[in-house]
Order: sequence, then structure tokens, then C-alpha cells
Amino acid sequence: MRMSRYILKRLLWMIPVLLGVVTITFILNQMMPGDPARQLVGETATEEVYQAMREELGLNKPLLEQYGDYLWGLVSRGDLGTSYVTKQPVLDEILARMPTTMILAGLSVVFSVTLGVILGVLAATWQNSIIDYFSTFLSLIGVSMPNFWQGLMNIIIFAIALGWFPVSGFYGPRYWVLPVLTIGTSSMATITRTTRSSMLEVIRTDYIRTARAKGQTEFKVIVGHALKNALIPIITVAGLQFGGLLGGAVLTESVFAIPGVGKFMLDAISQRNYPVIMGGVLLLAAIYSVVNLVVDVIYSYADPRIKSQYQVRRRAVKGGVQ
Amino acid sequence: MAKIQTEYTLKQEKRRSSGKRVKSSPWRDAWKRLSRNKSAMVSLAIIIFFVILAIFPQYIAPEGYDNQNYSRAFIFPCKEFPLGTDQFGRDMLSRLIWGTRMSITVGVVSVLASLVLGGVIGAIAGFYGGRVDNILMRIMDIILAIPSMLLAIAIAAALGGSLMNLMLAISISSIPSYARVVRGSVMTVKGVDFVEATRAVGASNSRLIFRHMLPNALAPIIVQATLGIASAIICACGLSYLGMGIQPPTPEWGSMLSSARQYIRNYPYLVIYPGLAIMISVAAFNLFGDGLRDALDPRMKR
Repeated sequence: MRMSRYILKRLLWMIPVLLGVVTITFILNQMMPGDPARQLVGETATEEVYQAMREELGLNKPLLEQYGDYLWGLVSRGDLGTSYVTKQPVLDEILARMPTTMILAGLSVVFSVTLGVILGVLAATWQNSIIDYFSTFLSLIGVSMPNFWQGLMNIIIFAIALGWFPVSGFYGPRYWVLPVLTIGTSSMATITRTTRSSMLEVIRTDYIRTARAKGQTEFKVIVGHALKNALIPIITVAGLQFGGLLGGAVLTESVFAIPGVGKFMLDAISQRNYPVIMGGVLLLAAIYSVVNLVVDVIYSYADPRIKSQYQVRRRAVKGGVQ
Repeated sequence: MAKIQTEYTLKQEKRRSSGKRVKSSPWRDAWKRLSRNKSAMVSLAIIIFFVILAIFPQYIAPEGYDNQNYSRAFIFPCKEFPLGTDQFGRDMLSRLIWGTRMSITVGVVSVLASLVLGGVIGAIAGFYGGRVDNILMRIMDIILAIPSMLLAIAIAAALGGSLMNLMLAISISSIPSYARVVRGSVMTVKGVDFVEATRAVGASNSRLIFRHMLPNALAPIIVQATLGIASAIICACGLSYLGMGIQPPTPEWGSMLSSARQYIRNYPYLVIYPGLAIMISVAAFNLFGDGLRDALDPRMKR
């Protein structure tokens, strides 16, 4: 019961946060140099055409009214406005590109968590061995490479020199490999480091010694006992990485010319397409907030102690004072 | 953990009672631990090397950063031009060395700026607690809800590309993480006796926070700042790569990568070296940050 109340509270709290996000983005839009109406009609257009365009876009209204209109449309109809360039609803345009970005981000999470956890567990199990040094070195390189540069290097090595994968575009699984590798590497590195240190902490505890003493196979000790208990920090970090993945997708999509939300927003910024910028930032922030909430909920299943915090009051009532 | 602490203090006492006069302070001890850490020392050397490059490029670089000469464009790395020349015939090595100035400046200044702003916010929130804490941290939550790279892009786009605005964009987008760290460490020292004592002799709140509490909460903040320089360098190069940071012809590693992008097929060396420079400097700050963490908090060392 407490759990669902907690989730509800967090979901309600997302409303003021997202309102804040809308406000910040609106202010940033207004600060951007350049005039969308002027960009659309061109430098040579007459004053009348220009004014007509301003009116059509609603840019001639006072700022507060523009802000109020946007908020009202958002709250009453879930309307994110209309793109200045294509005249299509922003929501539709973004949703059309969302699957691409989500495929990238999702596969990158799978890639980075799988490889990161495996490397981290191996490194912790054989601490100070070759494997440990290798994984430490790999994760240092991984966090230190800017991901757009890694994208360019992947293109040089795997696309141009070896010819295994296409240079750019997004038309099928063969096109996914390099971008996912690019986005996932830095989070893989972070997850490797976290897994290693979390496992090292757990491996020295008494219950692991007990598990070994009772003759459990080493594999079961490591995976069944140690990893299970080392999971909490790993989940935290993996969840935190998701925001980085979404941000990284912006750069990576531009490196590989992938038609996803990130590239769409970069184009919108250069075109001063305000509604698209607002809608994109808002949706990405909403996704990020939901993912963080999901991570917090997963916590409580990974660690019964956390879950019990939500149930303390009920148990206390049932069982009397303990 | 408590056991290790006592072992540690025992060792200290033994050293003191052995008759040798050892001047010991927490910072001195930390430096001793740090100087024993090989990878931290190597990375410190690399950082100092980059800082020297950043301060004195005019004496170190073989050429100026904007010596164009079309007769020698696209020369592959050779004896005369160790890293080759670019599409305008400019010496890559010289441009990389001049570019150090931009990246190191952006890294250090933007971290200092967000450290000061985030630090003040975090210290106030952590010290006063209650409603003040609630309001300040909720505002931080709003900024945190936007992925930081995306926020930096939006701010940089809004302000327009220049060195100053680039630093501003990066520091604003990383304020919340510093606010959180500082708040956390202020809250941990809040309950300690010396704070009560200072309060008892009648110190003002601001004196208490900035003169007594912050210096004692410094260790995690220093670590975070060192690691922060690494990510600020990456972020700055990313923004310049997108054309929202430092504009050509000013040499900057990210914008060098961005203009080399179109020659990637035939002249890959143009893409490789600026990236290597970014990677090495960032790795140095990361390694040094890790070393600092181990040195400043011996309990966390594994």
C-alpha cells in the first residue's frame, strides 16, 4: 500500500518539475539570437510578409500571453504546438522519431549493463589479475573518450577500414551496431567500475565465506550470493546513466546522421523552431523522470530492506511495538 | 570500518610516541598517501604538462595556430609536420598545443564557477534544512530532470557561441550535482561537536558555514571538482563539435574534429589526433580524481 502511495506521490511531483522544465526552455528560447519568422520568410521578404508570418506563428503576442497559451494548450489538450517548419503537430513529429532514439538508448542500456556487469564481476573475482587490470584500463578509456569522437573512430575502423558496417543512416540492425557501441561504451565503463567495487565489498563479507564453507560451487557463490547482494549500486548507476544515454544520443545521432529525436532537436535549434525544442526537451525530461522512478521502484525489489521501509508503519500496527 | 579507523589511529600514535617529530595534519597525510599512488602521480604529471602547454603555447608550439599555406595542405604526418597539416595547410601539432589553452580554461573555469554557485546553494540548503532546503533542492531537481548534455546544448544555443558562453552553459548545467555534494557534506559535519562549539562562542551563521564547516567538508568536493573538470572538457568539446562552442579559426579540439569530419575517409589522422588529446587529458583528470578520493578518504581505499 505504502509503495503505491509512494509512486503516486512521485508521479504528482513530476508535474511541477515538468512545468519548471517548460518554463526554463521557454526562457532559453526567448534568449536565442535570431528570429524564426525572419528565417522562414527569408531576408528579402517585405515587411508585410514578415509581419504576417509573425502573426501566423503567434510571435506578435506579448511573451506572457505566448507562455500562457502554450501552458494552457499543454494542460487542457496535451497539445505541444505546431512545428514552424512543417506545420505538423509537434507531438506527432517527435513520436514518429521516438522509436529510433528508443531503440538506440534501449540497446545501449542492454549492451552496457550486460558487458559492464560481466567485466566488473570478472575483475572483482580475480582481483589484481590480468583481467582486473584489463577491465580497469578499458573502463578508464571508456569514460575518457568523448562519445562523438568514439563514433568517428568506429567509422574509421569498422566502416571505412574494415567495411563491416555502414557509415551512416538507420535502416536496419546492421546500422544499429556502431551507434549502440558508441553510446554504450561510456556507461559500460561506469557500470564496470561500480560492479567491481560493489562486488569487492560483498565478496569479503561473512555470508560469502559461509556459502563457500558449505561447499557451494564458486559460480553459485559469485552469481547467486555475491552479485545478488551487490546489485543495488549497480541499478542506481545504470539508472543514472540513462540520462547520459539520452544526451549522448543527441551527439551520436548527429555523427551517424540518424533521424532520431536528438538530430531532430538539433535541427530545430538551428531553425529556431521553438515548439519543437520545447516539446523535445519536455518529452525527454518526462522519460528521464519516469525511468528514475522505475529505478527507485526496482530498488525495493532488489533490496527487501528498502521495501520494508514502506511497510514499517503497517507492520508496527499489526504486530504491536517490536 | 570502525576497526580500520582504530588501526589507523594506533599507527599514528605509535609513530608519534617513537620519538621522531612528525608534523602531521590531515592534508599532509593525504598528500603522503597520494604521492605513494603511482597512477595518481603519473596523471598529475600529465595534468601539469597540459597546464604548461595551455599557459605557454607561444613558446612551445612550432608555429602560430592560424598559419595558412595552401601549398602544403593535407600533408600526412612526417618529419617536418609530426602530426600532419589540415585542409588549410596549418600545422596540426601547433593547433593542438594552442587548443590545450581553450580546453583547460573551459574545464577549470566552468568547474570553479559551478562549484561556487552550486556550493553556496548546497551549503545554505544543508545548513538551514527544512523549508529552505526543500525549495532549493526542488529547483535543483528541475534542472536535473533535463539530461545535462541536452541542457548545455540548449543554453549554449540560447547564448550564442563564444568562450564565455560555453563556460556559462557548462557550469549552469552542472550546478545541481555540486549543490548535492556540498549539501551532503555540510549535513554530515553539521552534527559534529566543533560546530556546536563554534556556535556556542557566538559565530555568525555565514562565518560558521564558510569558515568552519566547508573547510571540513572539503574532501568529497575536491574529488567531485577534479572529476568534474574531466566531464567539462568532454562537454565543451561536444558543444564545439556541434558548432555551438568556440568558433573557428580559434583552435579547439572539438571544433577541429568537427571540421575534420568531412575528410574522415581520406585523411583520418585529422580526426585521430584531436580526439587523442581530449582522451589523454580527460583520462588524466579522471585518474587523478580517483587517486585523490583514495588519498582523502583512506577508509574507502580498497
